[in-house]
Amino acid sequence: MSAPSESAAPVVRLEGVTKRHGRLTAVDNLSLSLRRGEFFALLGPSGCGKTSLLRLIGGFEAPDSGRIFIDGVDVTETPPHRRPVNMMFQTYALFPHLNVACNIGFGLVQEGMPKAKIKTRVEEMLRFVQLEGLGERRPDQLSGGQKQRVALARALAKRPKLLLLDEPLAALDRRLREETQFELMRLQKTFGVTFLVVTHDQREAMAMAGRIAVMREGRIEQIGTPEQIYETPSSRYVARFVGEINLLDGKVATTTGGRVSVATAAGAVEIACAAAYAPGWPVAVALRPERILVCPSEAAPDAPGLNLLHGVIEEKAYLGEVTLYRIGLSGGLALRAARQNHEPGASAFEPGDKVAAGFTPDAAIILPS
Amino acid sequence: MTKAARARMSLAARLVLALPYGWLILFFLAPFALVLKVSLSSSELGQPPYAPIFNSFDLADIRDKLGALSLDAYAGLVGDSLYLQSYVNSVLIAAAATMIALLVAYPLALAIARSEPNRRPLLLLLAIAPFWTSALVRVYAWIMILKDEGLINHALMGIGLIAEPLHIFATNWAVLIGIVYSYLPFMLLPLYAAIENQDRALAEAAADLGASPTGVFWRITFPLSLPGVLAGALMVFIPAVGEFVIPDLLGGSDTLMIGATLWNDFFANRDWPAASAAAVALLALLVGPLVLYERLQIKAGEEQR
Repeated sequence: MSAPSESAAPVVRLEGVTKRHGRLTAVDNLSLSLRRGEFFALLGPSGCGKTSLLRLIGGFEAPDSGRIFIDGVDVTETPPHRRPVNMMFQTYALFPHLNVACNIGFGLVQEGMPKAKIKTRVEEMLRFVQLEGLGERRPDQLSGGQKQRVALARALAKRPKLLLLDEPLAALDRRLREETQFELMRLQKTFGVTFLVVTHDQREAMAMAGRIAVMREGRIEQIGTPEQIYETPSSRYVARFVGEINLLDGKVATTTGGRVSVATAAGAVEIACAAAYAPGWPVAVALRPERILVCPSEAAPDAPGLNLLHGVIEEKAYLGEVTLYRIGLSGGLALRAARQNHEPGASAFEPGDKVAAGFTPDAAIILPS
Repeated sequence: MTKAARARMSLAARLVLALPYGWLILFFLAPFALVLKVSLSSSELGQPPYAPIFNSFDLADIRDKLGALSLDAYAGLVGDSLYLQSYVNSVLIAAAATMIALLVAYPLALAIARSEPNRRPLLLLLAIAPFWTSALVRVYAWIMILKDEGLINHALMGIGLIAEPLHIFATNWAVLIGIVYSYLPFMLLPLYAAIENQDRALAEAAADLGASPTGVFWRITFPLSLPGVLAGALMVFIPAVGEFVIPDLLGGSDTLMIGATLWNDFFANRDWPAASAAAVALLALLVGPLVLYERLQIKAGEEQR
């Protein structure tokens, strides 16, 4: 029944939502829109307000100020049982006194769906999560992974407009987690439901989500695709939270034609940057470990524009696919570099070796200090 | 426990286990054996007022007394309708009191369990605090409240709701009120524990799936609290059946409960075998259903595995 124009409207819109728990501000004047059918991740450390935000959208908590719209309807005052969203709880919250089929059908019974139709829908959901034939089991007879899939099937059975997932993979072991990631993505595509997943694991968020919001102290620090978040973090906080990164503090020396020269304690480096910075401005050079080229100090390539910082290997860790180095630079700075081991000589350096760390101007970005 | 584990059990562990068993043997099994013994004897005028039985360990004497064992006292239980009436009345009053206590305690337990976590101990304490004073004093206080010229009648007549005082005192109603009041904590505590233990996410998940607050209660909260309901019901019902003090103080002459009947047989009629038989029968009456319940619990537990 949805008109074409409606499908472009956001499924969820938060306007200046604030939630306080006592003196602590869990969600701070936050605004956010989710597109129809997208897989969106709220990423942040524990206590950043991401779970509170999820509970506000689900209706389990009321905001102190601000409005929440679902499908254009103001649901700020609507209790959870009247909201067209469903939630998958971190603890799964399966009803222990009901069997798997009754758990999955619970929402449909509340809806008043005819019994025969419920049965078909439950069978269908069991098939989707590959639990055929387990409908009669009780939750305490299921493995962790099976419980997770029942919780997912239960939350999806009502075909909600939006599915909220609170740390959906946190309770699974590592091997199962990766498998389930793909399972979640598959189900999200199959049902076309908007997924809003809360996680503290940046790899999980990057693997699954089309867009990520990095949260900090009740606010959104940055919203973007995984690539945007990783390649062009907007702040030191985001850069540090998403993946490994080197941050070299320094001061802007000159800005010329898209190049900013930064004076760090380890030497001057040139970074490609569209923005103009006034000389003397304190900044940080953000550089991913895998973008650093490590070579023997005496055999450093003399390519024009290549930044070279000389130092000594302090630590080395061979991890299989990569080798990690910690390179001590002058001025007390250090760089972490990661070399792919399939490249010749990637793991050839030993602690004590004099090396040069090289990176091109577009390998690093400049962040406000 | 496997044989190996049993063998490994240290002396200290055995001693610790021996304590509760010792307690039960000393204060339950031994007195029960005495009562059982008396119930199998026959009534006599004298001191003690029953035929001596199993008082020595002389084999010949035991063989002799074995022949003299009588079930007369038990036959008396069946023959005298007073006992049957007492049992039926006791069970009815105890069942009604259990029901009312459940209805009163459940909302209370729910409210306390759902209040702020740091306020729960205080609320629980307030609910239980009156029970730190003597039970006898509190039952006497109910006389002041319930009697014809007591608090309730004064209040109701004062506001003109009734013209004549309500006769509550010295009726089964007063006994019911007294039992509900006295045993409320035994209902409240298991209920509170059963509700408080529930994962809040379960109620939230039910609401999330479209269940209204009443729906959440009847489909999730209440079914999951059933073990607490059952525990509370047993803890009220069992002592209430044998209750003696409350019917004695609050009940009337027509209040017939087994506790009072027992007392009469022991102290007024001095028919110890009859009273003992009544006590043993009461125990059997209460233990029977309990054992059955325990069996069902174990069976349910095995099915879950």
